[in-house]
Amino acid sequence: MLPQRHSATDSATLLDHAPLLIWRCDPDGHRGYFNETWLRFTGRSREEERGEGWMQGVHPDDARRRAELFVDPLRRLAPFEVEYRLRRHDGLYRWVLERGVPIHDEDEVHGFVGACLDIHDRRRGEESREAALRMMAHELRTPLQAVKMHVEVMRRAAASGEVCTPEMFDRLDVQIDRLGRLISDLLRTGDLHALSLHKVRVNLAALLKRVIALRTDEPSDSPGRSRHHLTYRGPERADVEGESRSLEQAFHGLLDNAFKFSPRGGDIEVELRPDQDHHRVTIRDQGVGIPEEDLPSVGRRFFRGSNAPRRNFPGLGLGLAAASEVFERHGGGLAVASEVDRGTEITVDLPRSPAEPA
Amino acid sequence: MKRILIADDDRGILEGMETLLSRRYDVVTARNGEEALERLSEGPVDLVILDLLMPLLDGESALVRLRESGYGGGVIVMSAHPDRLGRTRQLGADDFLVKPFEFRELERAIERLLPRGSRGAASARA
Repeated sequence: MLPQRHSATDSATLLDHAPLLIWRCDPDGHRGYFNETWLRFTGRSREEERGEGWMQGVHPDDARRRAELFVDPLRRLAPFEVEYRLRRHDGLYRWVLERGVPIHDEDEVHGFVGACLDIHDRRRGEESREAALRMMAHELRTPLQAVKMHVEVMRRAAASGEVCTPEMFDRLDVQIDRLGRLISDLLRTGDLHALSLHKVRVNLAALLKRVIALRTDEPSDSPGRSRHHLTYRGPERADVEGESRSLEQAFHGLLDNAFKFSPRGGDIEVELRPDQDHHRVTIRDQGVGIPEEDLPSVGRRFFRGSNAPRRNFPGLGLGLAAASEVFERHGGGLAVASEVDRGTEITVDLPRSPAEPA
Repeated sequence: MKRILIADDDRGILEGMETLLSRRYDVVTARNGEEALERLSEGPVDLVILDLLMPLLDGESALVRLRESGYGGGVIVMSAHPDRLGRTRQLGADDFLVKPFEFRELERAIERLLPRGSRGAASARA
């Protein structure tokens, strides 16, 4: 870390191209050097960052913890490691992992050199997994409770010499199937990320009708479901290049949301409209809607509207994010328009199959 | 016969509990908090068993509303979220159960709150 024997240009170039946010501070902790990667990340000039200027970019909730953590290593000249949120040029805070080591030789202390690595996505992934596990536990406990009740019904019948009727077994079986479905749903959601697409020509109209038919035949196992009226409007044929399994799952997810967030029932309309170079699918519900301020984050995994507290709408909050990923991987996209208490309209665009017959 | 109101949005749980409890009690059911308050306004109830996660009106809000309306009978809350149950005591719950629980645990909780021989159903004033 001491002055290099290489030419100044070489080491400076290396530092500025390193995929790390590198800085150096004097023995008092005042930072005097930032590499280009740091400056590109924060979008600020060296002059602005110098001294304590860079601290303006530390998230207010993390600033104190970060500063306190540095006090001791600075005094003892010890290496340190800390995670905090740093403001990026676009105004978003990103979690970074910062490591610093002292630079000193036998008789002189030169300060510290440190590097930050953007660990935001990794950290958010971990948080998401934890949230998912907690929700999974809840989702599984509910049918388990029902299983316990039905088993108890049968145990008591048997104990008092009564017959366990086929209906008792059926009820138990329904709950066991539900548990099975939940587990495959959870696995499926985890899968979507890793799946590579095997695209073939798919008739989107037929696919949508299949998805709708499954919903309509489904026994209503949540209150109010029967009050929903699900319709399809559109042509008989509309080809896209895609993988029907993941497209089906994505539309299933969107319909799940439409049902779940329409607790009072109402019409749910699926409309398919062929356009010049793409097919547009619109799913409209008359549910609780999504507040305007939440709209930018609806595509995020585990997002739920601020008007949809978990206590009223249990679920993983994965439907929209997972669906959106699927459509993007098909070269299309998903857009959401919504009004609180009026309903939500999800628009999906998928590119038309080039070989589609006119 | 004592009357018990069970509110849970899960049909499987509701059916099972109703079958088990109706051997000894008069059971009325509700699928969400709003329905629970409706049932309560229709006639006197001795004990309410309330799930926390329900659509339209969740268990916590229903609990607050039913206590506000003057219901003085026992309330047992149940939930798959153990961390949410603690604060329901302050809201007026007498007991709580974490799903999945044994029916026997529910029976014991009911027996504590509805001692045999005690009379008189409580209802909401509103």
